[in-house]
Amino acid sequence: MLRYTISAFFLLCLFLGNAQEKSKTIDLNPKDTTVYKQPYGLRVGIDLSRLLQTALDEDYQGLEFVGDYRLSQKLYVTGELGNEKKIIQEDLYEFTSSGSYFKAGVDYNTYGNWYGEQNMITLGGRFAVGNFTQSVNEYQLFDSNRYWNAADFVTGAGGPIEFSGRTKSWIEGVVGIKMELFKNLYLGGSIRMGILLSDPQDEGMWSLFIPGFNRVTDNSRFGVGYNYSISYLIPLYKKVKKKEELPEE
Amino acid sequence: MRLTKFILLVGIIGLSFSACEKDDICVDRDTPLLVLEFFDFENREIVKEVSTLVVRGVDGTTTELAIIANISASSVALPLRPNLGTTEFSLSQNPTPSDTATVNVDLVSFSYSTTEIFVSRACGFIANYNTVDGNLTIETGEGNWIKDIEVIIPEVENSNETHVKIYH
Repeated sequence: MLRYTISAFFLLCLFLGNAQEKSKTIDLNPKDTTVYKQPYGLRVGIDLSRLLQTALDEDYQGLEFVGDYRLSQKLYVTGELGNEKKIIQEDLYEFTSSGSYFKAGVDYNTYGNWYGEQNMITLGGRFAVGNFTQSVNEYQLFDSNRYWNAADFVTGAGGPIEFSGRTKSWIEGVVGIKMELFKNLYLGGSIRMGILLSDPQDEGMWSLFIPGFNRVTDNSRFGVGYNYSISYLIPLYKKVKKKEELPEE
Repeated sequence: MRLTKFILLVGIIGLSFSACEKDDICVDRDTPLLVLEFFDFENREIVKEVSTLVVRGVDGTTTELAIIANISASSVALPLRPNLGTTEFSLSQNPTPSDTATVNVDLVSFSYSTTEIFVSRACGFIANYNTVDGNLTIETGEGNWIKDIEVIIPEVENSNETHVKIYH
């Protein structure tokens, strides 16, 4: 390749004298004609934090797939699809919450990449829906009067109680980051703040852990979550980055 | 690298959030007590104080259980047993406190059904009682100091109202 390029330069030399003779004026402000093409495509990945927690915590199982599709220079449509199961031990009862969730939304890249960089610091939003089952495995009845059972609380008679088919929706604000480690391979992370649109204080038993939303706090609709993802960009096409207009001097 | 620093920052913020949890102390609701109030048998609208009232639980064994209340009062709150359908108490009064020979002990049992209710994350489940019914063990000879029992509120959901009227 290099050989041909050099040969081509020699070829150009033939015309050099000619060209200079023809155009008498020299252009002092030549137009920049370099074209910068950026990859566009579908990026798919998996959440590492949920995999790690599944391996380390025997009371937790979780899996989350992440994906996004680039719409324009800064805008991406994005989504997450996941499944979680968590056993939580409270003072007087133990319950299991398990189910699936889907989140869809947009991310806006605020990061000003240098030439050749494909990194992201994003602000985004999601609409999310989760469907889950919450079941009480064992429980004791709270009673501040200790006369009859001084040593321990009375075990509830109901046995395992299952509340299935619960559906909750929420919206999330997301701050995220994605860094290109190798070509088309990205490492990312995000923190999310969710606001439940549905009332978590269900009849029978409150929803205390919603897969995808995370822990529900008493008398509050806010929740906090995070993920760390590794994802691969399937490049579909390349698009020229439009030149940013320079401010006039 | 600017991005590496940013990732570290995101990680630290993420970790600090995961450690934030509200202190779990139950203050919302509690398993209620059964509230007895003492009235005059002759004049059933008038509250009548019991002199030297002593209340103990009775669990069917011969062992005498600890005293729940030892007061002179017109009202007393008693704990029921959520895991059983009945709870028995011995209520004694002594009209002349200086003389232990004048103590009169009566046995009262309450039967009920238990409902388990979820309250909140911190409290978990509590018991409420329904269809409470009072039953006085009739004694021969010296006789009962309690003349009649009337359950006025058979649904025990809090300890702030009188559920049972006892006439003496």
